[in-house]
Amino acid sequence: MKYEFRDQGRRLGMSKIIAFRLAVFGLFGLLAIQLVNLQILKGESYETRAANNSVAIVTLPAERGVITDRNGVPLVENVPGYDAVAIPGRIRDDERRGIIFTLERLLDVPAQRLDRLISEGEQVSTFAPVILKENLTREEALALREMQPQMRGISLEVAANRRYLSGELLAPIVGYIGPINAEEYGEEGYEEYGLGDRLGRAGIENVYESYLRGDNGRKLIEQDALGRQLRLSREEQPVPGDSVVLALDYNLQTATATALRESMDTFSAPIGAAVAMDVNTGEILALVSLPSYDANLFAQGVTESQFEALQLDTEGRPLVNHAVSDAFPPGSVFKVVTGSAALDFGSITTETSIHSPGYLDVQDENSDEVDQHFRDTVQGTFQFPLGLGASSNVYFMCALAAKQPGSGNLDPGCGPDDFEGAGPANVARMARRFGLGSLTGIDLPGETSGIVPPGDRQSFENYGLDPNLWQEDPANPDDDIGNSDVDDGPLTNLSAWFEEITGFDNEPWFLGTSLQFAIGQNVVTTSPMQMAVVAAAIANGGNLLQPRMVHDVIDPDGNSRGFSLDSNGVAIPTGQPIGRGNLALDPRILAALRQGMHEAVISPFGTAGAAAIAGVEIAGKTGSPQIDETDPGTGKLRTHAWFIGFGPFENSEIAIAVYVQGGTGGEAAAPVARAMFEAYFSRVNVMRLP
Amino acid sequence: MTVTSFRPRQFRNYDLALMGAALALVSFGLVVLYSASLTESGDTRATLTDAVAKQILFAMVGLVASLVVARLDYRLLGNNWYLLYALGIFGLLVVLAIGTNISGATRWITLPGGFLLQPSEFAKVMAVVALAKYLADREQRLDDPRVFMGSLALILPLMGLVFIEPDLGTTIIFFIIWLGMVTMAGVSGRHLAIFAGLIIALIPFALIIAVSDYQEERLATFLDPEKDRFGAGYNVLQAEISVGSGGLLGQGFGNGTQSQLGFLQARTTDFIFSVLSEEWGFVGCMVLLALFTVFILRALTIAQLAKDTFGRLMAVGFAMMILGQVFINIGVNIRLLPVTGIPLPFISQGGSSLVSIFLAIGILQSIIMRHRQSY
Repeated sequence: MKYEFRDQGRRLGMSKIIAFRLAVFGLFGLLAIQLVNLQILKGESYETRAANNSVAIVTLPAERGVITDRNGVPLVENVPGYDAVAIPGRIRDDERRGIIFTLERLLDVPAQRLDRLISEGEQVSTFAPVILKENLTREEALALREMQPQMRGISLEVAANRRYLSGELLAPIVGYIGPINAEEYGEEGYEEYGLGDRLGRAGIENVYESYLRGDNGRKLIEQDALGRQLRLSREEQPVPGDSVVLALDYNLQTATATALRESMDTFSAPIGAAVAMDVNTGEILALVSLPSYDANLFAQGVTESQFEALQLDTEGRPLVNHAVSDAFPPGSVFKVVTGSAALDFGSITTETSIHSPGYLDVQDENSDEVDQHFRDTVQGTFQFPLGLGASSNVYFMCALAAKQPGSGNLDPGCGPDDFEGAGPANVARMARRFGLGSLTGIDLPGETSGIVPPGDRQSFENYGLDPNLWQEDPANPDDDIGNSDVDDGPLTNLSAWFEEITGFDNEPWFLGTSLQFAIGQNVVTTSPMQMAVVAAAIANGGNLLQPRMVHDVIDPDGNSRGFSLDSNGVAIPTGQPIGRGNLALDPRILAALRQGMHEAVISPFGTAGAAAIAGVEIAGKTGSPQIDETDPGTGKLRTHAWFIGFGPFENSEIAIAVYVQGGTGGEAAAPVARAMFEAYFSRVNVMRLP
Repeated sequence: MTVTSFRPRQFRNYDLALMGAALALVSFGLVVLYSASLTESGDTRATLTDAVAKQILFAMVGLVASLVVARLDYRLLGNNWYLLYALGIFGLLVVLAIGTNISGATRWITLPGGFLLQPSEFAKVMAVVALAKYLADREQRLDDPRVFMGSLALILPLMGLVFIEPDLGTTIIFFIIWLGMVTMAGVSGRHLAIFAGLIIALIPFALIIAVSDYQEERLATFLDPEKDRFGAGYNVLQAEISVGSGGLLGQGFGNGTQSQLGFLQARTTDFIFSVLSEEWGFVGCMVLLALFTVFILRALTIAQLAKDTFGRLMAVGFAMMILGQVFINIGVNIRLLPVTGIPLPFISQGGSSLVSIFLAIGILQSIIMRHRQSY
């Protein structure tokens, strides 16, 4: 009995032991499965992570290339700067508050801002450095170095920074550099940048970033878990950046800025801009935009109050390059376009006479009331060159509007010669032939195209209008030549556009609008840069050139790379003019334009006499459109003063465009041009690059 | 002359496979420990590290102790089980009274000479002996709820004392030992089921009352170690990287960057498996698991061959002790389980663990040596 019980017990025990054995295999099987998962299936990725743990990558920053003027005058230099840097992952949670409050005191940066910077950086990458404050003063750097041992995760880093040698004079061109921000870090196009790296934020620094920056080197250093560096495992030397040689002449630039500032002071002008361009290559010899800002402010880490102050100047808008990124009504300067259109279309010849009694009225169709009264600054009967030189408004209004729809209402009309005006569409098309309404392609960021009414379906569509609304001029299916029939098509198109851009439903394109257009007011704006290109094209025989700030890019060994960039970053060969097309004007028309601009400077009736200099024949054209804004000083309507011109009259070398927001073209803009011509021609031999 | 004649007569049935597996594990452990302790000691590779020298010493002490114990009749232990049990409780009480606190846990007594004694390691062996004797003596009355309650009453004080050190891992091991032994003894399935139901019902309360923030944090860390990569989650993640980066064949002896450059913490103790994995790879891990399998299966065979219930239950208890520790330790290292500090038997640095396991081996040998003897 007892034995039986025991045997039974033994057998029960046997089956349990078998169960225990199975449990061993089951549990160890689970372990084995997870080991296969970690070591075999995912082994490689863990190996990478182990390698990332143990290798510290120390960046050896490349020296950024410098920027010089065409004669090698340095415009910026590299200077060492001290940054306060945090590595969020090395800051202990329990020490964080204390560290932030210490830093607030040392660096004079609000605690909330420090806290935010560290938190933002942490989200991007735990071990990547975050700049808490750039360009510490000597005192701040010393204080931080002293406190650093007590602040784990905070360090003082030497960083390469830029000092801009003539901040305000060149800021609109050279721009500035600033640190990469959290949104950009690691994104497409920024893969090469570490947090804390600086990159070009504006101007040439921005456009030529990829050349200037060079290639950072790196050291791979084996480190232990405490961050102690054990041995160097690999080293790649940095490659310095290329230097950039601007086409700019520093002395011409200085002379231009001085004259422009003087004129702005005289006429209480809030804004001024001036451009000088080589008429044969398109190289920009001077570019001044005022008011400006000190690029060093940005390079050294602009404070919020400083930045606000710059933004608060809504009148001068110092952060905008007024020569390139701003457009203004060209006024009478636009008459070269209106005149070209009328001559090219065959409306007038250079001998066509038009009489100006000193005004032109638009009569109401149904009564004797005057709808609009346009004054002319001159009286008399003019042929084309003197009409342009004396800047007769009536001459160019008639050149556009004679025998156009509604022109029966013009008083006293466009006598004595009988002709049909070119019409607004043809003028709009001619404006585009001069490159207006489109980008010049200059190698500066943020260029504006200005506004030109659409003369064709494509530009109509480019303004966001439905191309199906475009009405072809049925009498002129191909081009602009030989039509005496009047058709409403172009006006319908322009009305649709005008309503679109003004936002008014009931603001069609009237006859008066055409008259304003003829003299460059109301419906057209241009940038000083575009106008310099126009002047250069007239001077060089019709070549519309792409302006370029940069003459050449020089590699670290001092060899010329022989190119500069266009606005799309495409390399274009140095010294070789890049045409954007030809004006395709008859040489006689070009000669008439040149002659008219010459008259403007030399004739007693001319408006641009103030641009004349001794010893060199100059040609030019002024403009003084009004803007619907009263000058707080004088209570008068504020004017835009323009001058475009070139010299010498024969075998031209330099084209100039000047814009001053105040005064008249003859008084405020032409004298600036004179100073520029003088500076150029007195130094021309020095300026030439070998 | 036969091979057996080399052995004393008593050692005729000595289990060479069990001891062979144990010595192989100890040797493997010394190699890994050497590598894991290189950075801590700062020694050059030519010399033995302090940790390895001590571990060898403990292994030898353990080996001698196991031979001594093997010579004794294990039934002597049974007759004095209450003494051993009382000694175990006493040791744990001493720890609570004058124990040395290391990183938030009081598990050690500092002996003269600076040696740290961990009484809970020996308490496990004593618990096995006491439970085996208690259950074997009541073999005929296992259906009696009082016997079931009595076994619980034996194990719960030990679990409680260890739990408040705190040492959750060893608490769990005590429970696994108890569970394995009462199952083997054959307690009523109904009682076990009621007990299991009770435990499950109590879990929410236990979580609220007993589980400290510290354990809650460990649990959260287990679930998402990336959340706090430089705090609590650090080692879980580093262990995972270490194991994974070992790949099939490992980085090679002394070449694991995770171990050698100090990214992995507790690398000579609870996380030594990660060092082994990194340097010896999947192959090394499989060798280790194979050796443990041999060892545990031999212990279960001894249970099967034991001539009495007392011996059988002790053998099962020791098998469960090793199985539980191996599974939990490796499970933690490879992120199958939340972090609970348990040494890997034979491998982790620590004299108490090693010597107590050798004592268990001695008892196992005593059981198998006497299975055909009759008095």
